Amino acid sequence: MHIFLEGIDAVRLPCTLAVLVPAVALVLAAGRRAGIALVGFVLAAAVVAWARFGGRWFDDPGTLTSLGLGVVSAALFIGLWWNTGDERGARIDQAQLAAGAGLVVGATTAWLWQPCVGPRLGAIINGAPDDGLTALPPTLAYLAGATIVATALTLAPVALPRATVVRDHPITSRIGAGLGVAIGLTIAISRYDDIVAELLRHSSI
Amino acid sequence: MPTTRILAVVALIAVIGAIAWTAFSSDETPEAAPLAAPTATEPIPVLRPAPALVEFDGWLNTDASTFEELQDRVTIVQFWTFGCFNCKNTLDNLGALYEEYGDQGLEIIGVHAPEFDYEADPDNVAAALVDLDVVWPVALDTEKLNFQTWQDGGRRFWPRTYVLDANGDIRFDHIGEGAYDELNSTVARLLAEPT
Repeated sequence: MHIFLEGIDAVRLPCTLAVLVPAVALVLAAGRRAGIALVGFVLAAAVVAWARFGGRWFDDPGTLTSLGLGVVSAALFIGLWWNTGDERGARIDQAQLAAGAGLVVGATTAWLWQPCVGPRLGAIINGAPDDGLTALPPTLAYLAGATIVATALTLAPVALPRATVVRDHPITSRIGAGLGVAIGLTIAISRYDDIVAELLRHSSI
Repeated sequence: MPTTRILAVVALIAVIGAIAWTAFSSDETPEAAPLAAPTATEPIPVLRPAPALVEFDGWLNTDASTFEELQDRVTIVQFWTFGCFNCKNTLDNLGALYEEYGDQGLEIIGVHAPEFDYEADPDNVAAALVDLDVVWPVALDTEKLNFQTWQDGGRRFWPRTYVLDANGDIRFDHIGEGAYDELNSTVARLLAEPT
């Protein structure tokens, strides 16, 4: 529970925006399938983060890898928006597309993420090489906390029927997709760190 | 009201409550642990020999120009950067250690490895040292050569704190903030070891 709360607490830190912003973009773009997209995102991010913490993942992505990850991520966001267009009808099962987008974007985000290592996350990371799979649940709990704003956006239409109007409005999906495409493009040209740096520089911390 | 909606309302209230708790919770940095006196416990294991610290782009707060000039004593080596929130949280404890043990053989070297371009500017680093009250030697690892050498295998994080004994062996290695009790105890015990 404490690690989940530390994840929530990390939401106010700019270094967590690198995880939160893609999650929010995904939820907005996925519309009615926001829940499955977010679950895929958090699960994939947790697995990649766990692997990185334990030294079981690749090094930082190079130029070509970043290009591929960015292009694929941007394409998935475009696909989510395109597939929700009422006038076109759904070409692809939206649930599968949302789940796939969540997995890919979550994994990409976690690969590029440089976490704010507080005491409890530090305890996970320090023990990760030896703890094996037992480090995965607390990593998942931390990321679930760090993406809590996206969770709130996902729950709101379910809890508040009037919020479905906002969720299902075409502009919402466009905003999410636009944000996601922008993130994908900055990853593709290896400028994602610069965006995060600007957020850090202008933060009040 | 359907069950799904009830559950969603409850969950949403819990989520909003958690976000509000975060927004209104204290921003105080955690207090450093009180400095520990040496205790007779199990020997502090030697983790591995420390890699070299080389090719710095400059030094601040010292007349030294190489790591070797500061060696042969118990040394805390911390990889940090001034824009890192969690790094800054560790500075109070380091300052207390430096004040307590600085004249008893402890050295601290802050290896500044910038994460972003604005952190690479030496003038920005120098200004940050004043703002953050960092008085121990700081080595500028602008290209992160040492940051990558010391943290290989893709597990590279800020802050990362090592304690080296007088022989240059790593006796403490911690990622992130926290573990102040263990850090302080390790330093105290190593300083008390016969040379």
